[in-house]
Amino acid sequence: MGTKQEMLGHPFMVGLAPEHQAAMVECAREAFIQKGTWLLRNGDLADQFFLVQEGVLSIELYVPNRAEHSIQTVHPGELLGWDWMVPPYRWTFDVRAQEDCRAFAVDARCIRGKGQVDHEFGYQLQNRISQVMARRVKALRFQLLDVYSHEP
Amino acid sequence: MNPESVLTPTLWKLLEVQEETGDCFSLRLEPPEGYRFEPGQFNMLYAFGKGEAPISISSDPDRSDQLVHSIRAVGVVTQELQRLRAGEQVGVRGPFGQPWPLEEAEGKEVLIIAGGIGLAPLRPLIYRILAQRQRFKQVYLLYGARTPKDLLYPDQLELWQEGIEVRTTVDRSMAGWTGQVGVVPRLITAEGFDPANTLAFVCGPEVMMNFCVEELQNRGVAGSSIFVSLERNMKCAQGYCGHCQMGPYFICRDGPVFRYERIQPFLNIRGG
Repeated sequence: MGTKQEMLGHPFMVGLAPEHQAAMVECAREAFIQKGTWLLRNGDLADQFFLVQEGVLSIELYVPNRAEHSIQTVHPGELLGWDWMVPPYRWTFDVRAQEDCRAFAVDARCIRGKGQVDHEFGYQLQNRISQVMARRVKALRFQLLDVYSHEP
Repeated sequence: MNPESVLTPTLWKLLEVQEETGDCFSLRLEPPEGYRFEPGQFNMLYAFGKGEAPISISSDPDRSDQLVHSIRAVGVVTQELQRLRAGEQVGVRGPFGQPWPLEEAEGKEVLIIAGGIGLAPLRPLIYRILAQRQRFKQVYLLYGARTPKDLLYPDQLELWQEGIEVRTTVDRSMAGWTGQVGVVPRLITAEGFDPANTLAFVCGPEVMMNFCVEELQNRGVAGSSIFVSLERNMKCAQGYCGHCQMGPYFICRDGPVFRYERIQPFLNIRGG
């Protein structure tokens, strides 16, 4: 069973001010995702994000007439989902559990509300999620280089 | 090696040609008696009528009855080598170059990081580590390839799990693949090693090594604890001809394995 202490140990939470950690915990619940289940679907309302504790999730894009295509996998200790930050708050990809997963699901409306009241909290959150986004974009750029191809 | 014969290939018998991945294959050769190499070294392979190419050695350094080169068929020489059949002969010069300094890893955690065919020059190191497993703490192999079918030595990746932690990832997924998708540096992020007591051995395309070194340094691994294997246009393999010069170094003689902090100033220098 996920505890507050366990959530505070997630890398995304480490170093946040105690009052900001408390705000995150207030908006979170534990979620179990069974292997093979679609957790998020492209176009659906992006109303939460996830701090992954156990298991591997696959970020996928559907291409008509082709099988689902995994773009990246997300692992324990990582954050999943940022479309809840940007209007129109809709997921822009699919996510499926590659194995049984456990995560802390954080309610986006709750978090946005707290960020509007406490701008320092909002700033700290934006700052941390920007770092996650920057790392993912950097990794995707590297992927696009296709460095193992023998074409010059 | 007799210094008078370093520029003259000797003839070795080809025992087997084995398909590896789509464009990679392995040559299993019969070395002459007394031939020895260290993990990380390379031979110059001569394909008659075509020319010579530097190819890293990818077999067990403690086996003297056979020597394996895993090769990617991308040029005139390597494509000719791919056409050879068991029983034919290959011209060989070597071994050349500086090996992976495994003795520095004693009592430490070891990160072996490979991309694509970069696993081939690291395989002898893995064999040596497995043979002397008790000398090292936790050992990780972090390996990335373009697609699942481009993962080199898939059967051995399974077997090695018994002695070391093996993690694989691919840049592009395929139907049925349930492993990790993403670039090799993300595997570094996921591992729980002690950066102050870790030695890293990295081999792959140079841009991949750059990303990996950056991630290692972000995690606190010092440049003096990171070793990379470089590839340049090697010809004589003796440091005479200058084809593979990089700053004050010749990759063939002073490398191909370098301590990262030693070679770092000369990486990423752009041509005019």
